[in-house]
Amino acid sequence: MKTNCGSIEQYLYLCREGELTPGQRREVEAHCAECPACRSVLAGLADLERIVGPLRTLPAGPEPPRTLAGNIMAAVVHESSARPKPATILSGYLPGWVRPALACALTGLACLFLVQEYRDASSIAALEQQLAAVGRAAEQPAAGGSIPERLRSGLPPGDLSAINPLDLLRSVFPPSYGKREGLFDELAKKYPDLARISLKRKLDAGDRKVLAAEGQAFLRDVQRLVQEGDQQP
Amino acid sequence: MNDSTSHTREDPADLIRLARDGDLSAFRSLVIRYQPYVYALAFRVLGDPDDTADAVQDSFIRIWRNLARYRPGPKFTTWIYTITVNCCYDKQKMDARRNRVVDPGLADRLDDVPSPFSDPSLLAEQSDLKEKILSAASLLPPAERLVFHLRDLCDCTVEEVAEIAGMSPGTVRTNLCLARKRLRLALVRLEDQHT
Repeated sequence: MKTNCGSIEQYLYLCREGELTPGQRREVEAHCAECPACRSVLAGLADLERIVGPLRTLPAGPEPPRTLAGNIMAAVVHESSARPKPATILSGYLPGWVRPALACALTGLACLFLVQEYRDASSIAALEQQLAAVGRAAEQPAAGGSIPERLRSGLPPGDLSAINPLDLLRSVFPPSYGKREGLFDELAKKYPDLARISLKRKLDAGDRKVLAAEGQAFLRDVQRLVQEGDQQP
Repeated sequence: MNDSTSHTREDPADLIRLARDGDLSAFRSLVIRYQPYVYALAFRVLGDPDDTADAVQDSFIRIWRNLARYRPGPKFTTWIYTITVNCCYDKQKMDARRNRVVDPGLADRLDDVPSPFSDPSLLAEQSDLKEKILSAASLLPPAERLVFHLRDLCDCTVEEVAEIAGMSPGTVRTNLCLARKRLRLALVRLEDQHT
């Protein structure tokens, strides 16, 4: 006998499709060919499967009370009337904790746009003070530092010229946030003109118009997201 | 809120899409379609009809709230089962926090018994073999009970069970193995009683 019964026992009970690797399955077959005791375990499991298998198409449990579906729908209708259903393309992507962080990041961006527009009269130090004020308002709950720290770490040292707004947002969110790309794809889709603006050059009148129009919409979305975030389960 | 009076399409994907857009009629169809399965799963976890009804209602409210987050990819049943199990766990935690005196369910009472199948009379009262096995399954320890229900009764894959139950696939396999071993022994005892 190649293997003893103890070492094969767990495999015996993992007898349904996809539970064992082909090698493990071969090991079980080879062992059982020579071991009547384990063959009888397999036969017992086959009996169990014959009883349980037909139940798979049915709900395996007691019937729910007849009133339950009505109670559920009454609660859902109440929920719907008490709270308008969010219809933003962003809400599907954002866990609750990200929303305040996004609000801070976007507020920071608004500061950045403002300073960029009047950069002749402003300084990086002033921008950093503004960003720090935003960051103090709400610290990023995830690891990786506060919002202003993360914003600054995404900036080339001492130079605000090589930043695209969406790239800057990307720098705020950790790569481990799995739905990040989906979120930014949606953002870019919803705010295509904003996504195209490059801060490598001085903003022209057209850029300012886009910032005025889409930047506000951006922030309105965020405000709504934060409110919804407060109400999330 | 859009609440169409009827819709002819009963394809779950269509119902989900309509419900995501706020169609209460479509959501009602989803409730009716999945409620028995959600109820059976919650009952398997909680073991008490009143607690189960509360958890199922909470589950569907949470499903409604979060439908916008559901992305086709994982099976819809995996997604709603995950929410259901979380609601059941929340209910258990809430009850524990309140220190409420509740019936913890037959299975929990029997957790202290070395072998829940040591008393075949518990099972002998039921005539049908299927019912006896389901009854025996309800006596399994909680983790084994949940894993057996999801894998062998709901036909979820090991990976889906792991996601729903919040366990690693290895832990799922271990619990599955133990559950089947106990149930096979229960079956042997039942057959011995008949002979």
